[in-house]
Amino acid sequence: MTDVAPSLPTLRVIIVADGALAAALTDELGAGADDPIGGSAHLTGIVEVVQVEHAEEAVELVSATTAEVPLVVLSGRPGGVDHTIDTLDRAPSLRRASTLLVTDRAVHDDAARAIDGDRLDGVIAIPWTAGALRLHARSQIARWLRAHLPDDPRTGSLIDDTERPLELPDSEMLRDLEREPAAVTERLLAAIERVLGPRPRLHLPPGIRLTHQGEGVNGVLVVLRGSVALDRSTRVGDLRLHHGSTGPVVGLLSLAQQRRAFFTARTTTDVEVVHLSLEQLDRALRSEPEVGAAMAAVSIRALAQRLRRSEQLQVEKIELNRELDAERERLADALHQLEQARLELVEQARFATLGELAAGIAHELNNPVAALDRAASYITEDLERLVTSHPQGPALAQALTTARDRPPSSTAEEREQRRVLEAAVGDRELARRLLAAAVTDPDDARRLATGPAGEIALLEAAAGIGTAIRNLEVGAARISGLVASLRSYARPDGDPVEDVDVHQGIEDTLRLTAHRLAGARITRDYDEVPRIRCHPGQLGQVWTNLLVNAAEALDGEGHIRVLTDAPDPEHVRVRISDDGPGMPPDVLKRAFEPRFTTKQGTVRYGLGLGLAIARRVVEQHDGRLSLEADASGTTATVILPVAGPADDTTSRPQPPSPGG
Amino acid sequence: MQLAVLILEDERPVREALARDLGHFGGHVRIEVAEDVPDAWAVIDELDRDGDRLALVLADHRLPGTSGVDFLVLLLDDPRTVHTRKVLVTGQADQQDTIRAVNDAGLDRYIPKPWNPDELRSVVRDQLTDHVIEHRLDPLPHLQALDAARVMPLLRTRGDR
Amino acid sequence: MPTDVHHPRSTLPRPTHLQLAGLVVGLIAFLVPLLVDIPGLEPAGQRMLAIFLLAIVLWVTEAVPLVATAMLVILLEVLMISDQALVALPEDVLAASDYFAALADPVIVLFLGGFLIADGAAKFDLDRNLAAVMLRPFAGNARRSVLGLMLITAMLSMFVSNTATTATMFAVVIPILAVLPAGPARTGLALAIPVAANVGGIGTPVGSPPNAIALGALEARGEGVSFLGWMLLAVPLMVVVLLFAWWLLTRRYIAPDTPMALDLSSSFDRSPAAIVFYVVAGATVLLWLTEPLHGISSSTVGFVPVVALLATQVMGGDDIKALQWPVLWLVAGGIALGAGIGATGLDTWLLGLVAWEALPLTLLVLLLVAVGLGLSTVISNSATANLLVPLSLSLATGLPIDATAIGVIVALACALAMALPISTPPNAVAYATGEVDTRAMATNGLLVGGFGAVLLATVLPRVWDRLGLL
Repeated sequence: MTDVAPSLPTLRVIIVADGALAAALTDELGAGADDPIGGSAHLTGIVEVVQVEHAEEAVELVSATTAEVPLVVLSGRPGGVDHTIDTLDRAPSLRRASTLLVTDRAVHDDAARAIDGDRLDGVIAIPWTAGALRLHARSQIARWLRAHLPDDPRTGSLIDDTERPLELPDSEMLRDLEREPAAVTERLLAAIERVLGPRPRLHLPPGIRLTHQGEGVNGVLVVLRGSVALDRSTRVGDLRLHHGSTGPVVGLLSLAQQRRAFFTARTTTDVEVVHLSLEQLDRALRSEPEVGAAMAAVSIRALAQRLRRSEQLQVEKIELNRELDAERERLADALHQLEQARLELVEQARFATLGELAAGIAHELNNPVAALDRAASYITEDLERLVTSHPQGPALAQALTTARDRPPSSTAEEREQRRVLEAAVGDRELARRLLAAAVTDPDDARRLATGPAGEIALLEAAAGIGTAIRNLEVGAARISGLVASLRSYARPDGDPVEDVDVHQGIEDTLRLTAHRLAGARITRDYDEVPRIRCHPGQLGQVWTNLLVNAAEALDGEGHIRVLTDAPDPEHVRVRISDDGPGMPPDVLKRAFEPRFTTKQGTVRYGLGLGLAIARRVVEQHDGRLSLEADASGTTATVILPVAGPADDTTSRPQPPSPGG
Repeated sequence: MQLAVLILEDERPVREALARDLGHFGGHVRIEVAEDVPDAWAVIDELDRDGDRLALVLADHRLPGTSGVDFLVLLLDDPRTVHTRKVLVTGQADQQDTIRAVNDAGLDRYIPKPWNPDELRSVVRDQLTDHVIEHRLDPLPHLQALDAARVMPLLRTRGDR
Repeated sequence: MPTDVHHPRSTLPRPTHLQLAGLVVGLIAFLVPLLVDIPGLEPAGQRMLAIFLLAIVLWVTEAVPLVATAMLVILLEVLMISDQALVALPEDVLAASDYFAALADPVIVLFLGGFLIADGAAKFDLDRNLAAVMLRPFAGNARRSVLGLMLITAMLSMFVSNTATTATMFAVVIPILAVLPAGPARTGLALAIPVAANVGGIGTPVGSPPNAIALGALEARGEGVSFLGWMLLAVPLMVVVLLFAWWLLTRRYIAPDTPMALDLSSSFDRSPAAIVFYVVAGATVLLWLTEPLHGISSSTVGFVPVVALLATQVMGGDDIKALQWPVLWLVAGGIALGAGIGATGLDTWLLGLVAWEALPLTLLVLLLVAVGLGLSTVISNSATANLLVPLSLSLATGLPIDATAIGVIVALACALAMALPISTPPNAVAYATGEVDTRAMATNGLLVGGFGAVLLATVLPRVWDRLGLL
């Protein structure tokens, strides 16, 4: 049955068919050497033809042997091409095989999977021209062998009588398509010259325009050497669309376009071209079929090149667009992050400036305050000395001292005192003046009222000085307190400070933000808490933001509670709660977003960034800031470690890095 | 009947300073001070008992528990004080408060702290004069606390006797 | 300002002790003549005496407002001594309408015109502008400026009520006062205005209510005095007293080198209404001054501006409402009181109580002037005139002196009282400014008033006689 060397695998063609068709197929494929269609290749001796009725049989058949199966011929029986091929595919050797479908049906709707899986290599209608099937099978086998067993000696034996490999095309045009481009060009030119005689070669330097976009074209140029670029002028400028993919015949495309040049063709190197007018081309085509084939091959190849180029460009464009979109998204994200970072930086810069300003003011205020404070004492001392020289010295000194040291009394009490005096002297204005003169005893009042007119005025003046001195002292003390608060609030950032009293910081903040908290009732519920290590100035920002937020949530009147305690010895907890309207969950969720404010809503974060910065500061202290809200109000909880931040913490909270 | 001026200020030194700066008016109008809103109402009751008339309130904006503006608004609801002129003396009031004071409390003037004593006196004099003119009160008992030139026309229609 | 929807309680003024005493004493004074039979007095006279005593007490104590007393007098007269008396009287009595008629007495009508012109002058700022214009010649020197201020005040006061004149002139003077250093100059200037206003009030019948009361009483006796006639009688005294007051005040208070800058800017209202007013007011004053030429009585003339100003709508209902009706009715009460005293024979009885003939005439006049001056120093000038004019006129019937002279003298005496802040509204205004203390007012008021009173009692009747004015 075979005379091939035993080392070579057996090659089998399997026919899956039954009945008459099976016989006809076996007959056709197994038929003798004389091929009425053409070619004299023999299958016999190279492959053996096996016929089975069902695909399952074929699978069984091949699994039992090591034979290779280059081709399966199927009949298009009802039952389904897809099903049959699926069954065949169970055997690996069958899966590799080429598949021919032989059918008598006009329509097949059962081969979609086979087409999709590239498992159908040919469709042959019944009846077929005798020998045609064999020829087809032969080409398939030859192609299969070249692909799968290129070194097999049988592969080389499958050639036609012109020594051409059997799987190669036979028509002039298809062959031209497979030839080297330069060879085809040469063939084209040769064919043309056969008709028109020798054509002069035109030598052109680079930069010469061969066609002009939009202009009429009356001929074509066959490029023999050198390269030509195709440019097209567009809205966005001149675009070079083809350079490597120009093709050797320039001007051909415009023939399909009312003879208007679609591109401007420009030489980019020294080129050698042959010019053909339309008439000459026409004559050549008419007279020599090979010109047509070569021209078609040249054109198809050029078009295919251009098409591939343009498809490639399309793919590149889509890929680029994808990349661009991704890039754009990344950029938008980065921009968002940058914007947030910028806002935080601005806010921090504001705080920093305010802090410096406050520190500066605190420093500058110290001297005048000291001067004020001292001046008050000096005035007192000097006046005491002066007053002793006055005839009524003791009385005046008494009035002065009494007024200065008068304990704070309510305005209602003062009115009561005035009423007593009024009853004694019978004149309200006089009673008022007596009281201003630090007289409270009705008897004294009566005595003074009936005494010399100037005496009350004198006492009034002395008492007025006493009151003024007291108010000076009180005022100076209050400014001193404010200065101290300012200084600790605006303490320049540096290394964390040890031993900081959280309460002190909160108190300083309360004092300095009193104007922002106007209307709110403040309750302090301070527990014993350990002193902590921290950046007091930064924590001041935290208290400020939380308190101001609470006050703004109240919008005027309400109650702010400040609770402190130590949940464990290592931590201090501060809770700042208001009894405002609270926040809905979605608002709460976004409260830490740097730009979050609900201007129209009931919750306002006037600082905008306040909570974000507060949280950052707390986190940089290795602490935690959380926010809870319900209908009864909002509570901000800050938990700080007593140990404070790690030493390498930078002095200022850093802005978030983009993307972070 | 005396005209009365009420100073409502919680900080003692400021209250004393205001009262002292208005000392010039003593004897011509009655100057009363109150440290908080309840005491201010006590003063108003007392004025009413004495048959005196609260012509002007100088209120601080920031008061414990309530704001000066709230008090000024409440004055409008009391027949004894509905015509009282209202002046806010304050170191700080945000725009919201000021708008409310003007719109809801019929605020007549606004004196920023720290005040200039002459300006304070001039405002008080003007407000008292406005009050007297608006309600066609007899200006003569209070003339020295008033802008005399402005109230003279009130006297023109008075006739000889 | 919020819409005013509140109605503050209108509290009644609490009566003073004096007022309470006045009510009690008044009641007693009213009841005694009714309960005790008084010899020589008819029942009508007794009733009138009761009314008269009540009026005295109420006007002196001001237990009720002056105008209320005036209205009470009319009411009591109607209820007690008219043909509609609750308890009828045997004698012939006046009809009730005769007492009510006092409310529309020609003198009241004259005053109505005067008031309307005065109010119009205020409305169009004519008084102030006139003052500014007339002051111009006096600018420069402090004393001369004061003279100018006083003359102009007096001149305005002749046609406008003393109080309104004072208010107008103080509006001019207050800026000057404000820049003067505290001290005598301020006192002098602040005194000059009320003194001039008080003295100026005697110049014309419409100058102040006592003039009207006297005029009304004289007309009731058929001895009317023309507008110009009154001026001829009164203006000489006015000018002399004014010059004396100027001399006194400037010598005492105002150094010649006192810096005094007068505001002389004037801007006359040139609106059509204002021009109509100027014409009407000018014509009215002209007609008053030319009564001897045309014979139209000053009351009738006084009614012309009322009609003219209302008809041209230069002034309207509001202006009428703003008129000083209490003053008009106070005058009306006085006229009714005089009518009642005359009609019931009370005057004759009162006259018979003292042998007036025994007194020298000069002394009698001095006495009348002193009583008028003294009484009106502490009570209302109009009330004094109301009480004193009917009495003195009845006195005149038995004495060799012209009734007109007596009436005018008593009225002028009332106008010269200016020693206390309560004496006249101009004094009250000056006192209220705080520039003048009671002491200064009393001293100067007594000096000026006393000077005027002495002239009035001693020199003036002779001058009138000599000039044949009576």
